[in-house]
Amino acid sequence: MDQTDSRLREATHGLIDRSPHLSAHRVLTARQAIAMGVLVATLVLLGLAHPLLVLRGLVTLITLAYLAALAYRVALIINGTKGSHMVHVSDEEALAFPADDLPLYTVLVPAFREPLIGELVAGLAAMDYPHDKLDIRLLLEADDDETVAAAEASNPPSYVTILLVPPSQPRTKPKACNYGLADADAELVTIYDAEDVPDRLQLRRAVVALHRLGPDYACVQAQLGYFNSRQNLLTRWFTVEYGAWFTYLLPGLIALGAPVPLGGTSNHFRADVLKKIGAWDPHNVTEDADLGMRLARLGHRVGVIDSVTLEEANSDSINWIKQRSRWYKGYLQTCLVHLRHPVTTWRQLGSRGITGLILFIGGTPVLAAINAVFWMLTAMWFVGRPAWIPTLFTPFTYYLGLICFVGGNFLVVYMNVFATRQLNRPDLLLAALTTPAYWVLMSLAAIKAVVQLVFQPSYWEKTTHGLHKTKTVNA
Amino acid sequence: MSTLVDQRAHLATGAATGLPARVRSVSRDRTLLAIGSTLVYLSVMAVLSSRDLLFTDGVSRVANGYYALASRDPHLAAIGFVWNPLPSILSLPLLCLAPLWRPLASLGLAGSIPVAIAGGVTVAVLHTALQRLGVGRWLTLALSVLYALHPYIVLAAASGTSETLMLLWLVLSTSALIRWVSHDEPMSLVMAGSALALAYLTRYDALAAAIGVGAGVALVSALRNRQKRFPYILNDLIIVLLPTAYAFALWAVASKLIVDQWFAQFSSSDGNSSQVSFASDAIAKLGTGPLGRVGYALTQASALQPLLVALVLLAAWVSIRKARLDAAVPIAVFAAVLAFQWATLAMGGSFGFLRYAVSGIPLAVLCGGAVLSSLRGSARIARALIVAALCVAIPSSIWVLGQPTLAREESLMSLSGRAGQHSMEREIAKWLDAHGLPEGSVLTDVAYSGPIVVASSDPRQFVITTDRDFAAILADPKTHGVRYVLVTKPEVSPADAVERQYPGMYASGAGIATQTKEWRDARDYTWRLFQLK
Repeated sequence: MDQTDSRLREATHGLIDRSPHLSAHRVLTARQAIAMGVLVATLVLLGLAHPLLVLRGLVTLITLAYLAALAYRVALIINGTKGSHMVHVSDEEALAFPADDLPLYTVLVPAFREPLIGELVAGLAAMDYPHDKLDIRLLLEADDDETVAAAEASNPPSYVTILLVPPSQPRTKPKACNYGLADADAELVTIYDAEDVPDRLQLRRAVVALHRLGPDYACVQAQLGYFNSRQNLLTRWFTVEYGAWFTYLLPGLIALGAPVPLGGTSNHFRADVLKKIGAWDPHNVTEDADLGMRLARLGHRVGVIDSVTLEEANSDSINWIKQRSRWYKGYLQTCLVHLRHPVTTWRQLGSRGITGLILFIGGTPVLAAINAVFWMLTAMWFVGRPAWIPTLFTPFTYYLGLICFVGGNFLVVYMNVFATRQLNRPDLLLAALTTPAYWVLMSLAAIKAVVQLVFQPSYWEKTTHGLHKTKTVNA
Repeated sequence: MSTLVDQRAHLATGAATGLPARVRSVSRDRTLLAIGSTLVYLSVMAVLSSRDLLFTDGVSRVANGYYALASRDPHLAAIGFVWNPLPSILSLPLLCLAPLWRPLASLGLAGSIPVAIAGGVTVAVLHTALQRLGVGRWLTLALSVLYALHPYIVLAAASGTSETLMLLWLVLSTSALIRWVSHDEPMSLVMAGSALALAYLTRYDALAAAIGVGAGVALVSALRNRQKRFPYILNDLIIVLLPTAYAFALWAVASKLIVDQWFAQFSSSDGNSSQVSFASDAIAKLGTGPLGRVGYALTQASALQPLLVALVLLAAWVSIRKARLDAAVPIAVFAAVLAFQWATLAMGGSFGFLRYAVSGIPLAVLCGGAVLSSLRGSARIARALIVAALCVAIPSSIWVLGQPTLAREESLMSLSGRAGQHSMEREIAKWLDAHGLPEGSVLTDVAYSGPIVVASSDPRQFVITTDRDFAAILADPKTHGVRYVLVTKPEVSPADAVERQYPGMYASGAGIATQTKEWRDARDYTWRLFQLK
């Protein structure tokens, strides 16, 4: 029992104990809180004296932020579509790797309230990898009786272990992963969600890719796709968004040398590096993005392999907003954590890297939240033409804003259309053209994320899986 | 077809990996071509402007940009909606420096300099397109030089014409499409589509190119995708046409919101239709009936590229006979623009200026390239004939520039230059500047007096048509502090807003003003300044 306790403590507090400044167990450090307080107080005081000046200043600042985010996106597109930044490992190459040289591979499968777990894990068990070198660990919460019972009833094969994580706070996926990783002595580690359907040769491809890329690379990320992308408009939007991500945004980040926020699953790590840098932050709700930043700061590189893991796209808008708000909250946590010592981060990541951190990780949720305000202003202007709206904009801000509005929105929609063709998915065309409606959902999620960051920073919004199945059953 | 394309793709990769020296020398050719032709265009520009040989189209577009920056009421919309905006927008950066060096505005150099650079870049892009067609290094170089030094291309690039800028986008689009046809990369379609949108924002004739490209892309996509044919055609079409459709909608909506007309370039009193209707007699003289006018336009195009039709037919033959879809790309892009010009002229809706036929020049060069790339190693005579066909264009276009009936604008340019029209305009500006008038003292319609306002060192003294309070001031000029009215002969200014509001202003002051001063050039082009009573 003692051993379990210390293992649990290590899973929860390991990172805090060793590198407290890298953990999101506190949203703001004292210095950050003071700086923010002083800033807000100054703005309020100045606003009371010169309200128009402060408002105009804010509008200008926000417009410049939009423009910077837009320019960064253009840079990502230009660099991301030029040449290939992906490692291709053919089926033959993957299969030709001598079985004796294949390393021991730990596959972590955290699951919480997944009653269909037995069925889901079947997909993972079908992976082409010698069973004696495969160590699949189902990480279940000890008090999640339903899932535990289902897992045990499924009669898992010998290379699948069921690990029960004792109930404790924070109840997050990264804590479960840390718990599962603790006694793994494999050379490589990866994570899959229970419902994932990875390419059968993915583990072998990852071995070959890491072998080829060399020790500089601590991780390779596989691409994510969706098996239910045709279910409804929301899953189509989701698929287009990920298509754009893997077609040019992620390659763009790599080409620019910016840190890459990892995806939640299908990232294949060298276990020793992962353990050395403190593994996942159990208090960060996008531990994957955070880990990408931490790897980059500590000088490790991340590659992308041409192998797809099929996941379930979120098909229900409420469920979608929950999931997205968690991601946005995590992005904000991540950005705040890595800006605690901006000069150090800047030294570690370089100016391109820190620009990516601020504009991409921090900027995405913040601008998504602010979008709602500016859409309302635009709508109000076209409906009632209230005279106070133009007073918020100096001519300079106005023309910059016009460029963002007219050029930026179009550019994103157009690049989504491009992504559908790149993915050979003309059926997603309508979803790409109607992306602005998807932004409304994003904006709602971003607002929820900001609010939750203040009140429940480490609360994990559970995403319900298997919605594509319930639907079929109901139908 | 596939074997040929494969071979060329293979050669291209071979060139990229195995033969870096060759690639380097080709790209050095390209850079030198761009720099060399830009320098030629800039020098010719300097000579022309120093002799007051100015194309009114270029000066007017710079003037529009100038109102947006330096008028009494500076606002972006002052660029106006009669001409598509890109040429004026590109002149804005240099116009900001106009107070330091007047000729940037008064001679329209703020517009001509970017256009000359665009002309130089076009040569480099054309070079790339020829390489992508599979033309060898030396022939590519020869064809590019024949294009760059074509007398009319030089004149157009040195005079700040919007056509030059449009050709840049169209050649860029052609080059991207050639790549798309042989490599099937969606990014090339994105490039082609974006270039088409920029072409539309430069001149609306480019809409015809978009239609031609749309038809071509649909055809290639249909041939390429045997499964899910219709969805793929739609996907490819949307990628290549969406930017143009968006630019089109945006420009129309902006025009509607600001001047309450969806397509001011057609419907406004200074717009094309109106200008054309005033010139209908002159247009009717170009040829008897629609066919006669098409004959006139065909003569112009043939004068600029005598073997245009033959080269287009040969390229079409290569395309069909050798299943070389890339050889047909230039035809899809440029022939559509020429066809559009000829159709509008046939219907009496175009001036039939020589510069409208300029698309035939890159069309002939690119078709020549397509034919050359299909010839086998031994076909020396055929090669020489194609190059010779393009060389003939040089003497024939020099000849046509001397024909007042075919090169009307160009003749007018030299006539008005020699008659001292532009020095008169500068003199008027100087006279007004010397009086140190307060802001908003001179009421005038810049559709005609643009060159005068641009030549003035104090543009704020004018109340001009683009000012948002123009209508109010026009209705009651005296109360608003206007002292003078500047008008020209109604025969040359049929839509002058001041003359319309106060008929008889030019003749006698319309009862509200008395004539103070009159300026007249050697061609009897006259301006009168009236003082309000």
